[in-house]
Order: sequence, then structure tokens, then C-alpha cells
Amino acid sequence: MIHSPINPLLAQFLAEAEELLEGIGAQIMVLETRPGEPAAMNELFRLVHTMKGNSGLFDLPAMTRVLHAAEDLLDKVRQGKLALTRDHVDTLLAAMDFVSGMCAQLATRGEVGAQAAHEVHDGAAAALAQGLRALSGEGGQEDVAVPAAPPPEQGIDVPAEAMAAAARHGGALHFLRYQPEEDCFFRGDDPFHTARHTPQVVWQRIIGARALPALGELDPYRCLLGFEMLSAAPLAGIEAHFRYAMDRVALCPLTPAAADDGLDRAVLAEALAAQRRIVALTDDAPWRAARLSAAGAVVANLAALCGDPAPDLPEACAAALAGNSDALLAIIDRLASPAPSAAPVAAAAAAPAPADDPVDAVSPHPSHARSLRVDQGKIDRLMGLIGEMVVARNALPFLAQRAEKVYGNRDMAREIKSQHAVINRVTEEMQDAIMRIRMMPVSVVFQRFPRLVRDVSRKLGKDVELVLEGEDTEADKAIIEALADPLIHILRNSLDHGFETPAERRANGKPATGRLTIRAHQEGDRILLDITDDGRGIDPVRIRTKAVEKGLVDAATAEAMDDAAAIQLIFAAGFSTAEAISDLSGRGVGMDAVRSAIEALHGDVALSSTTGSGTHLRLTLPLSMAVTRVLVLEAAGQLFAMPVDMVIETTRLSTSEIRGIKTERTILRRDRILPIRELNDLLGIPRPARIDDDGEQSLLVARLGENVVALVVDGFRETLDVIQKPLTGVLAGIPAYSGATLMGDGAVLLVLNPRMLL
Amino acid sequence: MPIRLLKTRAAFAGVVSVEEADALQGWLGEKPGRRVDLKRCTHLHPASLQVLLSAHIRPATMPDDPTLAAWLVPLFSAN
Repeated sequence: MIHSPINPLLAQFLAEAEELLEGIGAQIMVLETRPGEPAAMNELFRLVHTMKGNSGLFDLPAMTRVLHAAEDLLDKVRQGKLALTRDHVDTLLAAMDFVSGMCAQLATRGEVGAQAAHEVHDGAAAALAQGLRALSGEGGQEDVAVPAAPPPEQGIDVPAEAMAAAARHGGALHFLRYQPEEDCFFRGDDPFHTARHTPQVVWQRIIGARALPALGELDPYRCLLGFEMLSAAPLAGIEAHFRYAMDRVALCPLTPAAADDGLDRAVLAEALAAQRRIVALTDDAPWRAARLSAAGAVVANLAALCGDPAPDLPEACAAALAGNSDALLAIIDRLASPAPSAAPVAAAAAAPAPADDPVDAVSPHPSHARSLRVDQGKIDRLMGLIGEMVVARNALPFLAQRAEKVYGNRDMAREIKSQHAVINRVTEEMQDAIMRIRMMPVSVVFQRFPRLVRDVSRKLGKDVELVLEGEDTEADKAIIEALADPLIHILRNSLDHGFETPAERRANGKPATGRLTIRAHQEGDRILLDITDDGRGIDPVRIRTKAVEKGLVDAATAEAMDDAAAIQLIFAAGFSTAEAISDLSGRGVGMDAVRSAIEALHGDVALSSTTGSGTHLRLTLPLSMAVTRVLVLEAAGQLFAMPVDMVIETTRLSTSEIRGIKTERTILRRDRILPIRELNDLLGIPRPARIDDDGEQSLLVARLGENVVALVVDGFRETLDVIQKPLTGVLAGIPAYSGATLMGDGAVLLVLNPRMLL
Repeated sequence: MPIRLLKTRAAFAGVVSVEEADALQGWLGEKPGRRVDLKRCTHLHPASLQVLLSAHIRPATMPDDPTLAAWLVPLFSAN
């Protein structure tokens, strides 16, 4: 893996990990006091599952191992095979402390650390995983195939040639190693072109030529070459040039050391002294030759560091091997005491100094962003204030009315109204401006998908091309951020279950590479996300069988469902069709979690699939949650609000139209039979709905997810743009209301949450 | 035509794109000891470059383009 000093993906992972760990801790606490609480159990499992999936994206085998063990334990508890005891809780908490400790270390150092740290982690991880597995009754065996730990990264080893070139150049430089993805040619990339046009290159070379297979076995369309460069351009320029490939570029600054750079000189002198002692040894050990060549190699590197090409070095080494080490010793002495005339220029930075923490040597990226980072709380406060402003503004028409009716002053009323118009315009613009501050492009979430898709598909042995469209579509920050989790679940599911292996695809006459498209676009005040794959689609027959097996529906119901309805069963809680549990998906936490997350954002999920040719998911979300347009309703003399996006129509209902089916009262509207509910009943108000003089009632037809319901109310008022405030205190526990707002006359208006009303 | 594949030598000219790699691989594989002229080449897609490197070709002429030569000369002399 290429390591760049600050990896945005890692930063995002850490931010999420913090949240996830918080959630995990909270749910464990809930379960400790109320063992067996299914909601907390499912949530805990989902959090650990997500955390494990995320950790799998990085080379953190120790973390993945512990989380996987914890997940297995929780799965047993969730299925009721195991009761959660205090021991379990203790061990789980210890495991989570370990994970959060690792995250903290990652956050401060940008990587887990050197070899020693790895070993400590692996040891601790093994002990924790064993403990967890012992508790889950598996006798301490790990059945998990944790990816073998790759050799730890040791920062960037800048080749001696580059060091020498940097020394010749003398100015501040950046060393870059660009290792393109193997399949980049298929995306139309020409990495050589990119490398060649890197700004202000002072030294360059192509690497990987030696490792190429013989001509007959070479697949020319897999990129095996890499590029190393020294650039004198500023960091921002380099990053801008490699903006599409920054994750494949390892970068480190090389600064010309000042002449009085005490540390580097001291280290250099120490290293040279050590080589001198080695070369000067006169024993006749059988490994003398190897020892001398090693010392020779070190001297060559040190010479490059000093900017001394040391052309006589190979000869001196050969002489030393033959028994005469005088020439070599002379070179060492020359390097140790540079002639005062030779400008001593040493490249510092990631030089092979005996530092045990190579990352510390790499200076962090300076921030060049010309934007202002503001605490989100401040924006929220602005939003709250503008909400109050809107309420105050709405009071003006009432005041105008009073001026006219109570005080009989019509001129005053007119003036107040004209002032209202002005304030109205300003507040609306202000509201719009604040909303815009909170808007973020979906690319914030999308940017990590290419890597995710690549890693996951590679793990699964599948070949999938990701196409992102409409990345600059914007929506409220809260929506964008909340989208990340569900989208990752969807992608993982699609990669794991949706796509076939290349062989299967070829056998079915499809191109071997699958295509996964995520398209974002705006439609009115909604943002639409279409996730389309050209995989095998969802097999309704298999879904029905599985759903019956899992006890989600009975056989007769499943049989009666049409195919389109059957595939919706994947959204049911606890549904999973994967035969093997992988570390990607397949525990049945995915799709129901997706649906509830999207619904929590006042969004909808629509799924369609054609067996054999693919699956299409459409997420529909509001652009912003800050302002809700509501319809004000009257019920038993009180006012309530209903979000307009749920309303299909408002109409009059004649009592003669009501038909009884069994005990239900229904009405036929637009060729559909709709069940009738009275709002008074649902709110527990013991009063029948008002019937006007013509024997008619007010009827609101509302859409609640898949269902359409007719609600009888006492009457309709105006529609309003409101900023909802969440309910607090005792009221917060009533799910029938999603929030409250103030009317212009100061009255409190409760906003109904129709999903929870029924 | 970015590469003219002749009997004994291949003449590269202008920008050699990714499409050329296949034909070049075949041509070099047919008969050993064929020559490659890069003199008039201004850019070489890494796919074709990989083919040349893998065949251990030492081009008879190096590109006139100075930046391309800066990349390729040390590469082929080390190969």
C-alpha cells in the first residue's frame, strides 16, 4: 500500500470510528442494565459490523481480528444461542478500548507505527480475540481468515539517486513515487503522461522494469511500471496535478539542510564512524566479504546524502575486498570531515536516519484551502435564530390585522404590511444563504467509493467498474453525512451478492467486468440517488424461500406476493441470503438498516430488479431537513401540521361514500380502496370528526411509505414553511410528533409524524 | 500511423497510444533481434513501453523530444 502523510480516507475512517465506538459503548451499557433488549442488541451488532467492515479497508489486521471475534460473539448472543453475561461485557469493553487506543494512535501518528508496535498490537489482538472466542464457546479457535499482515511501512525510502539529484539541485524539493493502479489503462489513464507533465520535475526515473515478466507472458494492459520524480513545484501544485491519483502517490518533502544542521551531521558522523570501525576490523571471519560489501553500500548511501558522488568508491570497495581497505577508509574520512569549500548540502526529511518513527520525519501538509472552517454549532445557532426571525416576521400580518380591526387604523395596517414585505424578502434570502452554507456536494461521500469498490471487489475476486455521476449535486450537510453509511451498505451488498464472478459473467454472455453506477441528481426539492448494477439481479423465488425459512412471512403470504413485492422482503429485519458469512456483508443487517436510515432522513427507498440483468435502487431524499413545508390541519379545535411531501390530496368526503369491509371503513378513490382513519381517534381525542352542514367531512389522503391512507380531519388551514424544533422533556417520548414550531400569532404547532401515528 | 512495423525495424512517430501495444508485442515476439527507432516519438503509452522493456529492447535511436528522452535514456541503458 502506498502511504501518503495524511490520507483523507484514513481521516474519515477515524472520525467515523470515534462515532461508532461511542455508539458501541452506549449500547453495551444499555445491554448491561437491560440484557436481551433486541433493539440495543441489533444496533450494537450493526455498529460492530460496520466498524469491522471499515477497518478492513486499511492494513489493520489486529483491529479487524478483534472486531471480527467480537462480531461473532455478538451474533451468537443475538441469535439467542448465548446469554450476555458480565464477563462478556467486560471483555467486549476491553476489546473496544483496544480498538479505540489503536485509533488514537493512528490519529496522532498517521499510521500504526513501526514493527515493534505491530508486534505489540498483534499480541494484544490475539489475546483479546482468544478471550472473545473462548466466551463464545469456540474453545479459543479462530476460524477467521484475517488477511496476512503486510510488512509494516517504513515511511518512504528515497532512493540514493534521488538524494544525490536533490543535493545537486540544492533547493526545496518533493520526492514523489507514483505507482498507478494495475488496471488504470482500462480507465483510459496514461500514467506516464501524468508523470511526464508533473510540474517542475528536476529528476525522474521509471521503476518496475526489472520485475516485468518475459515478453510472451506480459499482459501489456496491466500497468506494472511506476514513476519516481523530484519536483521543485509547491506541494499544492503537485497535489493539483495528481488530484485524481493522489492515493497512488507517495510524497515526501526534501529540504536542503542548513550548514549548521547539528542533528543530521551528528547522525552522519556516527554512521560513518561505525562503518569505519567495521572496515578497519582485521579479523579473518568467513563473512568478511559480505560485511565489507554491506559497509560499502552504506558508505555509498551516505555519500549520496552528503552530495558527494564518490566516483572512486566502487574501486575502493573492490580493493577492500581484496585486502586493502585504505582507500575505503580514506573516503570515509573525507565524508566525515567535508572540506570547508564544498558546500555541505544534505537532504534531510525521510533520510535513512536511525529514527524509529519514520512518519515524524515527514512534515504534514500545510493547508492551502481558502475556506473558513466553522464549528457546526455556530451554523446551527444561525439556523435557529433565522427560525425565530421567521416566526417574528409571521407575527406582522397579525399585527396589521389588529391595527385595522382593534384600533381602526387602516393606514397603520398598510404600513405594517409594506414593512412585512421587506422583512419577508430579507429573511427569505437569509434563510437561503444559511441553507447554502450547510450544502455539501455528494462527492464528499462519493470520493471514498472508488477505493471501497476496488478493495472489496478484489477481495471477492470480482471485476467491477464504478461509474460516478452527478458528484457536484448538493444537499444539506446532515443529509450528505447520514448518506455515507447506507450507501456503503448498499455498495457492499451489491458487490457481495449482486455481481457474479468474471467466469460466471462470461458464461452468461456478459462482459467480464461488471458495472456499478451511482448517479446523483436533483429533482425539485428532492435529491435522487440511483444505484444500478448489472449483476445477477435478485431472484424472487430464492427471496420467498429464504423469507419463509427465516419466519419473516408465512408460506401462503409469500406465495401470494408478486415478484416485485417479494424482492422488497430484503428490507425486512434479519433477512440475509448469503450462504457464507464474509467480512463484507451477509449478516442481514444491511438492507433494513439502509431503509431505516433513509426513512430517518425523511427519504424513501425504491428497489427494482430484473433477474439476470441487474438491480436498481433509488434513494429519494429531501435537499434539506432544515425547512419543512407543512399543511396545517384542525382536529378537535387544535391545530396540527402534516409535512406536505406526505400529502397526496385533500378532498371532501360524503358519509354516503363510506363502504364497510369487515370492520374497516373504506373509501374508493381513483380506483384504489383506501382505509379511513380519524385523526381524533389516532391522537386519542374522544370526539368524532366534524361533519358540516352538507353531511361532508374533510379528508386528507396521505402516503406513508408504501401505503396510502385516508385521514378524516376537522378542517384544513394554510401551508407554512417551518423550521422544526425537536421536542424536549416529556414530549420527546411521544413518537407521534416529529417536532414543533411556532405560528405567527405565537401559538405552538405540533408537527405530526404520520409513520408513527398508525 | 504511430508505429510502422517493417521487416527488421519499427519506426515510432508522434504519440504512441495504448492500442499499439498488442501489435508491437506480437511483432517483437515473431522474430528476435528486431530494431526499434524512437527518434520521432513524442510520447509512448506505458503499455507499449512495458512491451519494449519486457523484450529487453535497446532502441536504435532515442527520441528527439528532450523530456521524453530524459525519462527513457537512463531507463533503456539500465535495462
